[in-house]
Amino acid sequence: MMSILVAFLINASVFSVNGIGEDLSVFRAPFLKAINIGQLGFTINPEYTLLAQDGDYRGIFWTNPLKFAISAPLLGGFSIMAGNLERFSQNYDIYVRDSSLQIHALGEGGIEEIYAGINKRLGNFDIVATGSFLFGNAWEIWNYTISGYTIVDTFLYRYRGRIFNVGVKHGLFSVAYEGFGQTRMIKLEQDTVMIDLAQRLTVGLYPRIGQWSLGLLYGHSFWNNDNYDSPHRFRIQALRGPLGVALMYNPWYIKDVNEYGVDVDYAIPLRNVGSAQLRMTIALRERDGVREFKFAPQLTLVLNELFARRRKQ
Amino acid sequence: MGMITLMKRCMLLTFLLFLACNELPVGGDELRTRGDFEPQFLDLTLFSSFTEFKELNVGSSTNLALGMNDEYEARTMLSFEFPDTVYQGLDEIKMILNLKDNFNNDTLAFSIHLMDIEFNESEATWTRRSFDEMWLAPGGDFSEDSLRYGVAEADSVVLYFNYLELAQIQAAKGIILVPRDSGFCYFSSKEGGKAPRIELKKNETTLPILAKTDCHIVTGPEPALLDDWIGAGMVYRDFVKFNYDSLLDSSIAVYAELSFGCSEYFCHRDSLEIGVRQLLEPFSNFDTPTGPLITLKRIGVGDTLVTLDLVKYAQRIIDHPDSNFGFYIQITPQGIDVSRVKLVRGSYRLNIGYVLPPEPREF
Repeated sequence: MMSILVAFLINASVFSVNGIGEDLSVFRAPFLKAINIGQLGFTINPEYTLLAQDGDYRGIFWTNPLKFAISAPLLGGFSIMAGNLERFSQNYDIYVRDSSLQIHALGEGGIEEIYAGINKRLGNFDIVATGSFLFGNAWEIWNYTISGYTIVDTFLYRYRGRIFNVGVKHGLFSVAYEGFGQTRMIKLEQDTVMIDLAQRLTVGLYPRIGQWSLGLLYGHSFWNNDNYDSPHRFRIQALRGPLGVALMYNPWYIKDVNEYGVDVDYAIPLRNVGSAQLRMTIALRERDGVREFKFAPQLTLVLNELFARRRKQ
Repeated sequence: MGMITLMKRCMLLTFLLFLACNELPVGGDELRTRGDFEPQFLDLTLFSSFTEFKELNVGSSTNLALGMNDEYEARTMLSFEFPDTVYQGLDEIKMILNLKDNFNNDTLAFSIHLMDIEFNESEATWTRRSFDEMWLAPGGDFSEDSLRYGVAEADSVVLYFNYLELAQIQAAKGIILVPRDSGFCYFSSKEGGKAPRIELKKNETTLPILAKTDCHIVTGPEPALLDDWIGAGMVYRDFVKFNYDSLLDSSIAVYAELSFGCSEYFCHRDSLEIGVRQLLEPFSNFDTPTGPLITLKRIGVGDTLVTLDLVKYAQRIIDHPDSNFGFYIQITPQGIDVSRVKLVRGSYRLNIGYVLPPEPREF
C-alpha cells in the first residue's frame, strides 16, 4: 500500500537520473492566447509511466505540481502575465539488481519556475517578453543492499537561477527566443556549480487549410556543454473546432534519448465562465532498449474576466 | 452493475496498479550511467586483539548475583531503612528474596552477615566500598559470625528472624550474602522490579520494608596474555583492531560482517547479548573512551560462531581512516550477571562489501 502511495506522489522518468532531469518546457511558447481579456488558468497533469525492458514491465503513477497562470490586459495594447511551471523534473524511481547487490534509487524534486511578462500588441503583431525565476530543491536517496544489510546514501541539490524569453507572433507565424538562462546548483550545501541553460529558438507557422488550423513548430536548443545534445524538435498540430491533434518529435538533450508523442485536445466552453481543455498525451521515450511509455491526461481550467464580471454585478 | 462487469472495468486499473507495485530492475542501466555499481568484497587483516578487564560497579543491575566457583565469587549486599527504631509485638519477621526465573539458578547455600561499614550502591566493587575508599578486606567488611544461613532454591528465599536479629540488622550498616557452596543464583534487585524486602507482620497486618540499596560485587580471574575474553560482572572487553585497506578509499561500505569463534561459555542464561563499541581515541587502557553501541546481537549460549554487523565501523574508518582506533567487543549489559565467553584467538574476520558511490549530477 505504501509503495502505491509513494508511486502516486512521484514522477518517474527513468531518464531523469541524468543531467538536470527531464525538460518539461519543450514546445512552450511565451505567447498569450487571449490578450484582450483577463484570464486565470489552472492545470493539473497526472501521469502514468510504463517502463519496458527485455520483457519486464514496471509502472509508475505520478502527478506534476499544479500549474497556475494569470494574464490581464492593460491600457495601450499591453498585457501582463504571470504563472508557475515545473521546469526540470528530477524524479525517478529505479531498482538495480546484481547477484549480490540491490540498489533502489529514488529521486525527487527539480527546478521550478515562476515567470512574469508583458505582451504588446502592435498592429497584427504581438511582442512578448518574460523573465523567470528558477528555484527548487531535489534530493536523491540511494539504498544499497548486500546480504540483507542496507545503507542509505543521500544527495541534496538546491537551485537558484533565471531565464528570459522574447518573442514575436503574427497570425501566420511566430518566433521565440529563450536565453540568458543560468542556474546555480548547490550540491550537498557545499559545492556550487553554475549551469548555463540552453538557449532555445522556436519558430512556428500557422496556416489554415479549409476548416483546419494547422501549426508547425520547430525548436532548437543550443547547449553550451559537450556532454549534452542540442536537439531539433518538431511538432505538427491540427485544430478543428474543439478538437485538436498534435504529433511531436522531442529528442532530449540527454544523448540518445528520443521521444515521440501524440497529443489529443478537446476544448469545452464553459458558459459565462471560460473554458476547460482536456488533453491526453501519449509518448514513447527510448534509449538502449529501455522504453518508457507515458500516458498523461491533463485538465486545464481557464476562467475569463473573473474580476470584470464581478464588477458588473 | 454486476460484479463481473465491475471487475472487467477495473481490470486495466488493477493491472496498472500491479505494475506500479513491482520492483523489477527495469531501466537499471540508466542508473549505471551514474557509476559502476559492481560490489566488491574485502577481508581486512587483523592488527591486534587482546582482553582488558576491570571490576566495575553494577549497582544499577536488575539482578543480584550470588555464588562462587574456582574462578569467581559474587556477593550480594543489601541495606534497609526502617521507619521505626523499635518494634514490639511482632508475629513474624522475615526477609524475602525473589529468584530470577530467566537464569539457570543453582541450589546454593549462603550465609548472612552484618556489615561493619556502609557501602555506596552505585560505586561499590569487590575491592572498593566507594570511589574513594577501599574495603578493609576485599569482598566487603562484615562480621565473621553469620547472622543466619539460608539456601537459595525454587522461586524465592524466605528467611525468618527474631527480635534480636532484627535489632542487629537495624543497627548494622547493611547485610551481605556470602556463598558457602559452589554454584550461582540470581535474585531480583529493586531495579529488577521485585526488590529484596523485610516483612514485619503484626496482628494480620504486614509492613513491607524494601531494600534501600542493593548490589552485588564480583571478583574473577585475570585473563592470560593470549586469551580473548568477553565477560560481565567481572568485566572483560576484547579489544580488536583491523588494518585499514586503501582499497576502501572513497567507497560506500554496504555490508561489513565481523565473525569470530566462541569456544567456552560460563553463563547461567540460555542466551546473552554481545555488543561492539568503537574506540574514539587510540587504545590506552580499559577506560579508553568509546562511542555508543554500534551493534548488538543476542546469541545462544553454546554458539560456536558469532557474526556481527559492523557496517557503521566500516563506514567510519572509510570516512576517517586516521580514526581507525579499533573497537571493543563486550557482553551487554556488563553488570547483568557473572558470565564469560572465550573467543577463539585468530578466528576474527571482518568482511566488507562495498561499492563506489554514484557520481552526483554533473553539468
